[in-house]
Amino acid sequence: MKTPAFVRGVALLPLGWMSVFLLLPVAILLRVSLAEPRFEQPPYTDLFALAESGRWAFEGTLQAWRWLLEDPTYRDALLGSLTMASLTTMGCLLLALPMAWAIARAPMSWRTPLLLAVILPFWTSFLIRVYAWIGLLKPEGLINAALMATGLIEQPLLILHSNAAVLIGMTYAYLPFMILPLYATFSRLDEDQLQAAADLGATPWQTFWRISLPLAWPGALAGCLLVFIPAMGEFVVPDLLGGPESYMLGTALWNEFFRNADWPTASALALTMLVVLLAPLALLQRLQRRDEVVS
Amino acid sequence: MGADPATFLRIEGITRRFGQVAAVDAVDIDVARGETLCLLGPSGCGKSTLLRTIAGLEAPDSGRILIDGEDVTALPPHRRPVNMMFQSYALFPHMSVRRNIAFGLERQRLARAAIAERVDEMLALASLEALADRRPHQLSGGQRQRVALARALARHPRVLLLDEPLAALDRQLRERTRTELAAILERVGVTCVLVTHDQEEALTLADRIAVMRQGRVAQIGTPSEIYDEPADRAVAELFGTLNLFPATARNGGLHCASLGLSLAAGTDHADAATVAIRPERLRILAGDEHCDHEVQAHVERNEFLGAARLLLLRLPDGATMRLLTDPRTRAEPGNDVRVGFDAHAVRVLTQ
Repeated sequence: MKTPAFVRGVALLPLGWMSVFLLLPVAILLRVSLAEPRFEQPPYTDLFALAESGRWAFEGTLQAWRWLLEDPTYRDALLGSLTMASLTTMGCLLLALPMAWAIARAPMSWRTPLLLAVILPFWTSFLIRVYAWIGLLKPEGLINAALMATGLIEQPLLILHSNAAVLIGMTYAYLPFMILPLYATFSRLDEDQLQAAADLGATPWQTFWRISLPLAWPGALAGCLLVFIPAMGEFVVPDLLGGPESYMLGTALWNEFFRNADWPTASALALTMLVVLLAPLALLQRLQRRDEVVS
Repeated sequence: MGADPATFLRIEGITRRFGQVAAVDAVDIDVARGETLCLLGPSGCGKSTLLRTIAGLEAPDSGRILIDGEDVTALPPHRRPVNMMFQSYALFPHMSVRRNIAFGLERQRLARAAIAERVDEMLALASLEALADRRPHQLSGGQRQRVALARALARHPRVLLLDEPLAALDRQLRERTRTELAAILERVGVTCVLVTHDQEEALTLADRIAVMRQGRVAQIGTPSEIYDEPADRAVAELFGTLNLFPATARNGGLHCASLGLSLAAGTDHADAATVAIRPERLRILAGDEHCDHEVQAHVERNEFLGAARLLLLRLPDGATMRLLTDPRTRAEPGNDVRVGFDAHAVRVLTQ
């Protein structure tokens, strides 16, 4: 079958987008990562220099990459990101499962308002919402005030500027990315299959665990990746809500670029992050292909 | 209604409304132990809603469902001793055939060995042994149908509910599957309520048929009762072709001009009715043969149907009549014949 020219033209669009906004920047990062930092414009050295012999010589170095391996700070940042992103993903999954299920099972007229309630926070700036959490979490903030008023605690909890605050903030920020794909799969479940489960003696709880949840697995996986990937690179939340222990890749990256002005190391770090994130994406694609074979 | 000791499943005054419309309207049906009852009717007649009410998937607005004397109306579906085979089969796509069949048994907390034994039994019953480890999407329509049936039967349901069990199959497969289904139902001997819109399915599978119309039971009876003694014209027309002739009241009885037939006033119906005769109840009379009733007819067409021959006849008053007969019958178009029928072949229908 011949592909119409129009379709081929449209297919070029994402390809063009990818080239300009992904491949090209990656090439630039790679180039910068092989240079050395310097206090000039641009803040990195040239890769090729005209030698005295009159020939172009390669002047690149793996210094920045060696840094990444030798300095434990970066390893800690990577581990910090992995830990926080994993915990955030788990938190989102645990919160989103009952919420998405409840929305999908709600009467038709309720679903749109409920979904809107999930999406609505996006209409405000991300930054402002994270700032709002400072107001909630700080020692004299709303949460502590409420807990102290009820007499549950006598001293304010020091949540702000800790990993707990980062976790709360990131879970809050990424929850909708988990709810939406889960809702989509839950609402597409075959009503007959759920009723058949009940008919065969399954309690609503058993139906959820044995039928709804296994069948919603693609949605859960998509949600996990949609949360995990941006959470890995998260910079704003640990910067605003975190403390000294909240050292993550995003923070490290920002420090290298802007505080240390070490562009080569920052570039190498950015590329490392990209590679780390490619692994779960590849996993997703493989699982999706398997699912297509099944259904 | 007295409590018939043979009654196993009792549907008592069940009404289910959707908004203003009563999908099921005060239906009473008693089903005997081991009997197969068929709910027959067009889509929207309430038959599926009634079936789902028995399963507990619909809550009735009023009425009760009793199984072996026990009121199950308030029980949720997972606690009812009934199992249903869904029209879509509703097989679990992420489970093998074996796991699908075992699902209901696992909910009963049976021992692992007991479950395996029962599943094997069901696989054998439905001739699915070779397919036990396949997933539903790897099966043909007929195979899926058998898995759904085996899954519904696995738990020894006290009442088996079948929602259009053959509707999802193509025509050729349907007839063979129908025979298989009838054989399995007979072997298992389970009390069964079956919903269908296909009258042939109803006639072949049911011990009794309840014809439903607009949420009510229009007639209930054995297949031959429904076929031979339809309560009204609509029920009669459900099952194949019918010769219908107007009749008027005369001298306290009914007179049918087309057939030249006068009937005693066995009925106290209004002054007009319809006389119905099935095409296969009519016979062409040879010279010396005689029948309860006879009428002269002109052969217009003669159609050979293979297993039978259909004659299109014109009666003296211009009405047409169909006659189904032996394929060897000779009755050339253009000839006049004498057609006879027995008194009990004639049905007087209202409406």
